[in-house]
Amino acid sequence: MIAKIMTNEWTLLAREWATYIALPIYAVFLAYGVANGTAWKSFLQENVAEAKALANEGFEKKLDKIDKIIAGEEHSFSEDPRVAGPLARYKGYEFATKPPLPTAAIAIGQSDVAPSYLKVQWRPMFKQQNVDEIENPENLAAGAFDLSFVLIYLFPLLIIALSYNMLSAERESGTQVLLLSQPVPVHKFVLAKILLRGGLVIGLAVGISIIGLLISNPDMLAPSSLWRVGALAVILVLYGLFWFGVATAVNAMGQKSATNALVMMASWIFLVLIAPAVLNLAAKSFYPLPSRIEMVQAMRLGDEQAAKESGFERAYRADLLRKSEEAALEASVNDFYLKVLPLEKQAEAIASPIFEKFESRKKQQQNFAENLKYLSPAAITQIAISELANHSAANFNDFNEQVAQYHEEWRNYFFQPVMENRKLSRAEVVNIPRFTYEPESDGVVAGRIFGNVVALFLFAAAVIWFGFTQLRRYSPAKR
Amino acid sequence: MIWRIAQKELLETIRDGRFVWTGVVVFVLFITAIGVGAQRYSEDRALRQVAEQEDRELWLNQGDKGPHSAGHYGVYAFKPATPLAFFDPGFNDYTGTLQYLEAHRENQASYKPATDATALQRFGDLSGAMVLQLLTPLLIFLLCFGMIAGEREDGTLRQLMSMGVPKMKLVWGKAAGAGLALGVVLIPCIFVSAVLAALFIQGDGDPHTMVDFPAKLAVIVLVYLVFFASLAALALSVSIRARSSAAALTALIGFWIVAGLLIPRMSADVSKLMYDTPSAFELADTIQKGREAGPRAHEPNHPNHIAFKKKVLEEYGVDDVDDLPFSFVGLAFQADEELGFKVFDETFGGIRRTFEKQNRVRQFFGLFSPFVAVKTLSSALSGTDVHYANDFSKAGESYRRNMVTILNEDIKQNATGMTQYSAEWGYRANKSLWEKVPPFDFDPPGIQTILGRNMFSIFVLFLWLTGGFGLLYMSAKRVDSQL
Repeated sequence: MIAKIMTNEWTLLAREWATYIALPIYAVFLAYGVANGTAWKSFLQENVAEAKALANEGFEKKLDKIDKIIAGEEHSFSEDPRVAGPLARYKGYEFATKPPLPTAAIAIGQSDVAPSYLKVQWRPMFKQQNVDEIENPENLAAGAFDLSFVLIYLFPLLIIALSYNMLSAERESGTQVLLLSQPVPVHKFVLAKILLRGGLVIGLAVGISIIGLLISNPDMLAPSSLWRVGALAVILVLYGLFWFGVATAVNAMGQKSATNALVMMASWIFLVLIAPAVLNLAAKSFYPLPSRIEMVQAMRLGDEQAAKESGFERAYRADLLRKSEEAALEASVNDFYLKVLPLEKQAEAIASPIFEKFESRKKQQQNFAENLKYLSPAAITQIAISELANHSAANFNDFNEQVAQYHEEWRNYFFQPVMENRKLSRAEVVNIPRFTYEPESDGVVAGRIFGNVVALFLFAAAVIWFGFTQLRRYSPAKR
Repeated sequence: MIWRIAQKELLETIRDGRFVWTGVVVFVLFITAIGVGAQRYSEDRALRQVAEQEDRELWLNQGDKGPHSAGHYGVYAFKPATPLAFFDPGFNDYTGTLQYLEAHRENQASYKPATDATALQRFGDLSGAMVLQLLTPLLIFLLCFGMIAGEREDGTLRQLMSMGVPKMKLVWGKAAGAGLALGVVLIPCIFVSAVLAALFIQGDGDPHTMVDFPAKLAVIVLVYLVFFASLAALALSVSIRARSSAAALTALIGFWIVAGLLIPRMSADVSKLMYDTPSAFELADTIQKGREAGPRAHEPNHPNHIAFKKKVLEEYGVDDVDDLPFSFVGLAFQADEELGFKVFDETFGGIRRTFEKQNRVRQFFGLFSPFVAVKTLSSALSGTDVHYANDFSKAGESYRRNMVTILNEDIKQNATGMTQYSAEWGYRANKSLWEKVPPFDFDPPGIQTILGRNMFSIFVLFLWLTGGFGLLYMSAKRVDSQL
């Protein structure tokens, strides 16, 4: 019976001109979203490769110079790359990079505001300047037209457009009485209508997204990515079902088509626009981050206090000038590095409370957002899809933590040689630790996504259950 | 007659539960957003004022040291906000909040708040401006979609016509009624936000952030009035022409989705396609290449350094730097900086020009979406647009240039005859030099500059207004009890 109703529905839908406008436009948007995401992924790939190449080149040049020096090339003190202090502080640097995963094209997420490569030297990561990617703030604020935008914002709109009058249209055109005279309960009619529309819209969303992604990103065919593709399909189906559930519940109220459309639009505006923005405001208001201004000031005041406490002064070795300018410079530079590293450690210790507060607040804020996202299926979907792309806030936090660890490693590696006031050996320069990004394990990510999937499932199940229960009480005579 | 129709519309609207609830939601969201915005604004202002003072103290009391070391110590410039920023944070989450001004480098303003935000940030910030720009239009559409189409469906339009109500008067009456109903929601909003603003920003006597404040406030109110009026005229026209009230509503919501959500995003993509933004690496590469030609002030053995020295000696007709009437080291530092100025003007200036071109492309899309135009104007008047961020960056950079010039000039004058090492490590300046560098100061653009920069968006909004009322006028003639 259901199959028969679906066939009839299909005949009707196929005669609606709106179907031929809405569906193709939607398909184009999906394809555009995929293309945009894919282009972004290659942009990230290029940048990351460039950063790595730059770091490699830096190390190679230094080794080259060292080889020449060892071979007996004449050089001044400041030209010798082996001097530990300058190498650790400004001559040497690593680019810690976060290469995009094969699934990066799914969503741009936070990757347009959070850097995917960071320059690491001795100085605190906080003080590293000019590491941001250049982007027009207006474009950033407008948000990207990526697959996740099409799926989270536009996908429900198409569902609303196709299903707001599933029942009301029958009633308004007078066919409902005829329908209900058949030995089929209302909920079966609705089920058939949903199955057809759902099959069409969800099928289109899942089909174009996944086929498009796989064609334009063949590297996604590896098993480590395919589970993410599967998860994307599940999330889309659940998110779509949620909106069909809303449509069922609204139709079951037995109101006019116009009222249904209004109620559904209102739910969309509330769940997709207002709720996430309110939650965002709440997260920021309940757990305000210490201002960056305070942090900069704490750092400056820490430097100042540490310098005063240790009586820091740059040594001017006039006594050595008679020997040679070079000798004086060498002595001054060595003295500077001997003093400055412990000095900075002291200064950072003074400033550390505000940095710790910043980190803990940031975690609290993110936990708060993570918990409150369960109030809006759109927020859940957004976060889950960003996770699949490895572009969520959590993914970037993990990257930043890895970088922080590596930064510590860099400092530890150089601290002793600087304090011993010596040059590094060639082997020591070769062995300077390098950064390798380890994406969070599939298990960890899958665990987080599982929570989202369960929540979406509950949302979808709740509205569908509610809708169908209401349908049992549906009275065609109303109005 | 118009007045009576308006009164009836108002009464009917207020009795309509949908409008009341939507109105309440808009009111609550607006007040919440304004309250939080005002509180954040006053906190930020207090922090910034303390930081500015502290930073100045640190600079003045940095002790005796080489002027070039002081240049490396540098100064921080903190981006101030004008009071309207609490209403419209504009693009503030995506522009840097402070700029480090030091020797050798033009740093860009860093620490965009968006980098530290949660994933929810991308759904947008709930601000007063968001409520007015995105939600109030929906309220207007909700108010107007059934005004004529509904009367037609209920059969009351026929009665009205039979009573001889002139079509024009009917439509203007409806429009006035919509205006009154909107006023019922918005006037309390304005009143409460005025009180909140007075509470939080009182005592803000800072003449810098208050530049042209009353004029900016007046223009921003006008901008929103024009925006709302255009949308109301459009919605009423659609209500007159649509087959049914449902069709009118669908068309209006469709317009809202396309103009409010799709066009702003698509215009960003188009603008990037037309004017490519260079990557940070390309930029860094250009800067490095540009600066490589410099005299390498810190590296006396570098060929560039030697060549520069030779040139200077020839110019002054002496054989040794000791015979120069000033310190060669100071001159080399300054020459290096001046080359940097040129390179930075080309690179960062180029980026700013690219952004401006991109923004112009986006503004062009205002022809299809009044939402784009109103966002541009509102953020410009609130001091939260990209122009403002650029003005701040430019002010910071010219401050930096002045600072390093003063410092290098001092080396040039007072380290005469010293060797490279002595000039860099031995020569110490003191507070009297630090005092010669004035405190950082930034004046937000005045109303004339803002209007001048945004003529196109003003024109576009005016077009929407005249277009909307033109359409309404033509539609009014066609009001009929049947279509």
